[in-house]
Amino acid sequence: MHETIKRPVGTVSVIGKTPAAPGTSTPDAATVESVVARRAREAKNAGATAVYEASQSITELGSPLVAPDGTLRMVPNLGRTVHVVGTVTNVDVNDGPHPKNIRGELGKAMNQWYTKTVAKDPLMRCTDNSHAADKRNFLTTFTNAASKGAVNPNRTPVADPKVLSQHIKRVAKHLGADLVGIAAANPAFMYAAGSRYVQDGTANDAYQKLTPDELAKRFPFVIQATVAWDHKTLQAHRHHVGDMSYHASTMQAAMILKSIEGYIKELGYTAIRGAVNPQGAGLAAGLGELGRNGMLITERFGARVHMPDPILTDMALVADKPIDIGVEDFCKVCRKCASNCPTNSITFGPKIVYNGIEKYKINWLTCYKIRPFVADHYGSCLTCVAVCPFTKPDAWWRRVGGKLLSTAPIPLRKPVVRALKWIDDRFWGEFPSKRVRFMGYDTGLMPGDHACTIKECTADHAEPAKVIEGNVGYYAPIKKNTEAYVKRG
Amino acid sequence: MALRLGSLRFPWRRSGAAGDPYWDAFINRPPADIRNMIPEIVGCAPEGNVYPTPTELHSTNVTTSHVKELAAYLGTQLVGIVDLSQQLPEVARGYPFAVVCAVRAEHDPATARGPGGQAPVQNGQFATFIVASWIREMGFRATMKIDVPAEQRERLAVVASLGRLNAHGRLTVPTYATKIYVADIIFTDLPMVADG
Repeated sequence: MHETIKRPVGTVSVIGKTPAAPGTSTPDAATVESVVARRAREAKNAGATAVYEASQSITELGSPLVAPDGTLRMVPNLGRTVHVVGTVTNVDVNDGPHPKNIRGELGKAMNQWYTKTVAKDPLMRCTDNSHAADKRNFLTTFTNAASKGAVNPNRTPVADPKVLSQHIKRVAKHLGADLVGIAAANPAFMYAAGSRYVQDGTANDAYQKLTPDELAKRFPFVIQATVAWDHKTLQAHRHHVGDMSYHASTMQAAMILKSIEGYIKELGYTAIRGAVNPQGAGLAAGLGELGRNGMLITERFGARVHMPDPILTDMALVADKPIDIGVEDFCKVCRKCASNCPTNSITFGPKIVYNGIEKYKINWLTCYKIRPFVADHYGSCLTCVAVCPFTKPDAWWRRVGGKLLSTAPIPLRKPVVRALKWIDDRFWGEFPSKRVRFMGYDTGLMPGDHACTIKECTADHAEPAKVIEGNVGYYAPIKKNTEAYVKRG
Repeated sequence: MALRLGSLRFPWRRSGAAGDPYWDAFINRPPADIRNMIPEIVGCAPEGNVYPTPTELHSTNVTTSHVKELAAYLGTQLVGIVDLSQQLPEVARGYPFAVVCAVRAEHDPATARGPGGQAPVQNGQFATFIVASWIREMGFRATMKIDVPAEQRERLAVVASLGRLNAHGRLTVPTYATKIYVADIIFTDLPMVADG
């Protein structure tokens, strides 16, 4: 089903670099689009996530069908929101924001904040890896760094991959996952050769030297599972409570995936981690669509899911297909995340092509660089997640709205989107700021204020007790203040 | 568990595991390599230090509610506090309070040794690890490293008013009956108000 073959003779093959071979030209956009459209049709007809056609005509570098090293690839079907339209250079995981920051490439202040700052808040210290006082108080330190168990030599035979796929999904749900999907592995969403995302800093699987193409061939399936963030506590975005909502779910998802990884080994199959881009896998596995805010938006939970490090396996499974829940149509109109973003990191404009992929691209640097300045109040902003109209409790009225959008014919979706957006603005506000009280934290307090707002508390605090009326939350930094120092591009 | 009345069956929907040929092994087959099991991995993890500066606390009843709120948030179905000063010294182990967390258990982890059967242990560890870490990060002692046998854990759950022991000596609680698993006990000196 999945196959990667060598490009015809005469190609210069340099991994990670685009060779300047004479006579190489980028195909015109119409040709690329027609190939992508044709492949989507073929994939639909074949009932598969993607199909590979060896006799295709475009073999030029710059085509979505040709890897930087000259090998031919199948184009991954990532749904309506993301299209591979050019050569995708596999990303080295060490080029991500955190590794760059650890190396000091984002400046001294950023580096000091990330590597040497201990959070002032106890809840942050036990849920945020980079600001823990003692990393042994952080659960994922152990679940990610655990010694890897052996693959069971008594392999369980697979009679029907479809049955096994359903079983693996049932296993993930039994272990606590809210979402689980299976994608056909594709070199386009693998990390660069030798690059592994592992939080314990060691990658000791035996397949590290394989190229993305070889990896996708050797391990044809990716399993992605995750846990949704709690909606109520997420409303306290830009607050320690919102951070906790995010971090608790990531810790749980990491634990579940580690457990599934162990179970796959117990079945006698190989499971490796850290090799696959989580968002690419999530899109291909049909967990959601990519929104304007750069987050995967899911049918049941909206953007309040984190895509953890998925499992790459050689187990025989059946891949899911990308879904269409109307994110493509909604994000064209909505722009609520862009309006609310405190750092103006989210574009109001159209999609762009970045690294051969057409998508909405956020400015990760401005999104990231605000963190040291607000570390007393929060670690992760999450505003774009919390305000997204798709991010709502998984209630019947939300499902009705979702169904209304996803079942409408595409040409008729624009008025549906406008109606849903109008309802969202009226009920939840254009700039939502909900007061959240959780474990003694209260977002009704202005940033910087310290007071106890719990009625039942009789303790003699250093700070005075305070009564706050109303249901408004104050989140740092307040949008109007950030307009002063972060200009919209 | 479905109720059967002759040919009728309630609820109508079939059990998720029906017809799954791998399910029994997932629930019951012990692992070939114990390192593939999360309960083993987390159970062996060393505990972190106590934060040197204690956090300013609310009154004990409020602190108790926060401990319970966090444990419930992390997925435990029942949480109770035991005053260990009322217990024998070999139970108290020098700590004034114990936090007892219980999670729903479709299968008894003592007999279902597979990864699926151990899911309640995993879920319990997830909650208790973070609650204990949070207490330590607040500047108070908290440990789960004291080995408490299952029977004693269930007795502490009874003391914490989570349920009662049935004729077979098993913990029975409202809503879940015996389908409940008492996770590792957190021994702590965080001032709280005991249940029961």
